Amino acid sequence: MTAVPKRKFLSGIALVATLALPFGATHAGDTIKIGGMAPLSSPGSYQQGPELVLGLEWAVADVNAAGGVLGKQVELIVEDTQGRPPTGATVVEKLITKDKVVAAAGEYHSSVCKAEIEVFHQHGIPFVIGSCWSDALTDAGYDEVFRTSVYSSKLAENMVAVMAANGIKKAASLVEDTDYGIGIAKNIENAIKKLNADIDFQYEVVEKTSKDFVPILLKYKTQVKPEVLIVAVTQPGGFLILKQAHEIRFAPTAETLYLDGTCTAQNDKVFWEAVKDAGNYVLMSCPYSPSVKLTDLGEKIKKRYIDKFDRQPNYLPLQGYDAMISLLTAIKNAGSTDSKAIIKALQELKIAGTRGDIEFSQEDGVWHHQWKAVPTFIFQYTKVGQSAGDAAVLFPKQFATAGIARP
Amino acid sequence: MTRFEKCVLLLTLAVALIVPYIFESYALRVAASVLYFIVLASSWNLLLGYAGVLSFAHAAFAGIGAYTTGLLSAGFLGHHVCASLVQLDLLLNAGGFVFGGVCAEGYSRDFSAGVHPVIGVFAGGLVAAGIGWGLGRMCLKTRGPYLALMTLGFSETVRLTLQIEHDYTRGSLGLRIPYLWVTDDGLPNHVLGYIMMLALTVITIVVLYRLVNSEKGLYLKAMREDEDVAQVMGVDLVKWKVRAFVISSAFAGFAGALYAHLFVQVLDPKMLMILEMGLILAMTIVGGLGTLTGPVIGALLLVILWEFMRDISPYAHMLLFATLVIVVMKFFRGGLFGLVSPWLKQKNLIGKAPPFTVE
Amino acid sequence: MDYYLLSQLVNGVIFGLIYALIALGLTIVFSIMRVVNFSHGEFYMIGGYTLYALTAGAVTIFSIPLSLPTIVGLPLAMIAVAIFGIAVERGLLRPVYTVRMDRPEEYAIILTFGLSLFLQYGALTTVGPYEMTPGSFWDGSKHIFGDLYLAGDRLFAAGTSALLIAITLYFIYGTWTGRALMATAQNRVGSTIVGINTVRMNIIAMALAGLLAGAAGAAMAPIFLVYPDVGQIPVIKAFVIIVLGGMGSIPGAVIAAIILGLVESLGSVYLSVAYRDVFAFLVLIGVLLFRPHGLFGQKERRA
Repeated sequence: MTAVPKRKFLSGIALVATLALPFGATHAGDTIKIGGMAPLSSPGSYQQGPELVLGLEWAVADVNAAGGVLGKQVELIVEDTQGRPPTGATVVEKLITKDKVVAAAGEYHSSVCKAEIEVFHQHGIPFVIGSCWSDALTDAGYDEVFRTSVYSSKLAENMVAVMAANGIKKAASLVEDTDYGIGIAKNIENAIKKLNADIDFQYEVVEKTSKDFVPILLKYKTQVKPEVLIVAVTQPGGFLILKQAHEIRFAPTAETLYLDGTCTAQNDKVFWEAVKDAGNYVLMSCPYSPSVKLTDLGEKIKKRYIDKFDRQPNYLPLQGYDAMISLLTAIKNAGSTDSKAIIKALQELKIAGTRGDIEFSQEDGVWHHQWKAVPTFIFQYTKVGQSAGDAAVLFPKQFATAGIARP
Repeated sequence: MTRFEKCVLLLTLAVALIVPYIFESYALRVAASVLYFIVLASSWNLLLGYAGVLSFAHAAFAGIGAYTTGLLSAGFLGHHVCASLVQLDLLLNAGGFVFGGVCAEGYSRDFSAGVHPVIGVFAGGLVAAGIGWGLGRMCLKTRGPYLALMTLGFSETVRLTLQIEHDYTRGSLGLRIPYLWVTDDGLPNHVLGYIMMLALTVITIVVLYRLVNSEKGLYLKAMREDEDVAQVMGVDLVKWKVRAFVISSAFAGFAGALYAHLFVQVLDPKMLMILEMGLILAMTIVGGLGTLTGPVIGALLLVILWEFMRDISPYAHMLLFATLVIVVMKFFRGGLFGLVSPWLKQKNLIGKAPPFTVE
Repeated sequence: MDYYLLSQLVNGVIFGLIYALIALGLTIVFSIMRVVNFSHGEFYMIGGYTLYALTAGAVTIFSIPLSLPTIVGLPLAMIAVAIFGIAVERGLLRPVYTVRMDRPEEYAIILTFGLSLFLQYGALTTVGPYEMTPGSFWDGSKHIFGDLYLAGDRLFAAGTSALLIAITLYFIYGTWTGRALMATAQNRVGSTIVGINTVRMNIIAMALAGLLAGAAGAAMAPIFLVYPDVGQIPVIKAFVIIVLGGMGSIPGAVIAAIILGLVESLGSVYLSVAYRDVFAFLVLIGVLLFRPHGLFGQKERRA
């Protein structure tokens, strides 16, 4: 047998090259491409991701209906980051290099956001965070990164303020093993120091995909005996913790309150179906609630959601809408798709969002490119099956409708 | 190896060299992942296909390599090492020479200094080899299912430990590690990265080829065919199994560390999951166990299939791979290469039929 | 009395019983067929999904959602998984004994491993990653003693396990078929000589494993929910148990399961709660190193 004939060799290469063409091809088009990232499958919070995407999509639809941006229609390319940082980084790299997006908005998990901002920073592409609460994201000081959602230290300060105002002296927490979870725990510690609150606080980090939390809950119940259990574990682990805490008669009880730091309790339909009786008297720290007055734009979006789904929205569609509308308005103001121009326009932006008037601070630290005046609240369910809109508002004081209720 | 096989491998190499000039960033990543899996599948093949050792710890060794270099370049290990080197410099009055050679600043966001990634990669491979030696000496006296379960237990223990000790490893938050050379503008050079992965792949294949076709390879093959007979003929089973294990783990560690610095950049204990082991297993089995070209074909084919299936869903590829493994094991256990080899043998293109067939 | 220690121990024993149920099926299959069924966790998963499908109105017959009472769903789930087990034996594992091959053990491991991935990702693709919550067997939290309350479902699962384990032990030691199974486990060739149909023994073994795993999956479904990779962690604990108890020893598996449950609980109390799942692996490696045939296992004849 002689060596492989030249013809076969060349045709072999040609075959491989043609197989590769789909990878090499790039899109040409006359739309403005914007990237959108969210967890749409496990191990990400696939129940929350689509809500965020809804807000992104509606903002794009509204802008397109009004004529688009710079004379072109906006094309939103949504990618599933699965709640995994390496997936987030890969997905963003694909959006930037393959799909050639001019900017992006979205993402729900802080640890994924953390990986994504590095890629955006490397390429200089602007990114408005959808709903990642970790302080570190704005604290990194990247020019490309903006945030219209709440941030961890603000939520922690609210929680500590409520505890201090109600004379709570001992708190324990279960946090998930992510940037968000561990960030909240550390922020609560910092807030306690900052507000000089007399609170004994401890926390335990748990794997968010874990299923049996009874051992640690038993430890808290019998050894630690806290007055409030703060849980910063996203779905579905969060609901399991509540159910199991309720089963062993630990929280919510007269002795121990239960505070949901992730605000997933506000998805009232899913929440009550999953936890049933256990959900009564649960407190939650949220960026929004149906009972709170929104801006005109916010009320419009809220009504659209109610008309479509026959239930109240949670904060995610609104946060998603705010992130995207800020981005698209900035592109319009910049008059070009050049990254630096968009970033400058974002820095100077002043628009009415769904929850208030949005503008980004230029200060350093956690307030860098952060919407400082973003609203946050603390609510409490007082009846089984209660809708999120009827929940009592406990904080801030100017909106409060009741004090803390105990079973 | 016949001329035909040599031609096929050289053809593949030629195509691999052309790749960076055709593809841009994203596809180049995919190509690099093919190379990564070729190294992992080939080194795993050394264990099962040549020494007859079924190990579930391979992905864990890649992860150990990656985390070693990660902790040295951007984690607490590097911080401590570099601090000690500063002391050493003072002691030797070397004017910062030792420190400057090994460490650098600006790699890690959490610590002031870290070890240079190149040193980290070598450390990753060596640490993996060392742990492989230890694990091998402990486990390789056992056989079959016991060994498989021990390696499974080891893999999960390492993964869980990395995850739980997040204070040191950043666990599920992800350990961000620097690119291999910190360029001025911080942008990774994927073409260069691909070339480096290619170099590692070539080295792996060449070393495995030399090993398998040498006298030592004969011992391994003897063990694979019938352990008791081999022992009677004087082959020290444990010694050779351990040696194969060390080599295999070393390659896995190097690959894991190198690939991490070039294309992964954020380390997560999930890379040690059994799912990753399943990928390696699928590629080797489908490609062809017990041959050198088998894992190469398997890795290439499965990664390409994976890319095509991405549009369907993020995990449809696993369903396909699992089906392929079952089909291959049930019907033609020589994998794809085993499927074509009788035909090739008939045409006198290759020397011998691959193993794992039913005689 | 140290309530904390006691409550952890109670939780540990409950888990021990449940682990025993899962491990029992695995050890029966290994004893008789010399096959480590890496897809045993997926048998467990199928049990859970079947329970959910039958009782939570997910499946419709003539547009009427099937909403059987949860307790009825349990035996049905068991039967479903048993049938599946028989199919696996017939379709995939038969060649292990009927065909002469070089390395049957590795063949079976790789095959069942592939099957495990296939089932997990099959479930993921068809049903989705969502966690399903079937109805409760015994709703509400029950008072154990003092200040200790536990979910009724956990108690039900532990009770069901104990019952099924007892029945299985009776079957193995008290009936002719059970004795035939043991004979096959001890010496396959010898059993064939005295007239036992070893292929039928295989089928019975897989069916039994299916029944037990399905029961475990269904019983635990209300507590731990049902999702594609729900079987992963239980099956790894089962591996530890059968090694600890001795591969091939059925009472060994039960005792080892209780020991593991207690080790995990005590470890949580005195060492670290976070490392709870790691203890199992450390036990596994330790046992395999120092006493590979486990507590009660027969020393392997290597021939």
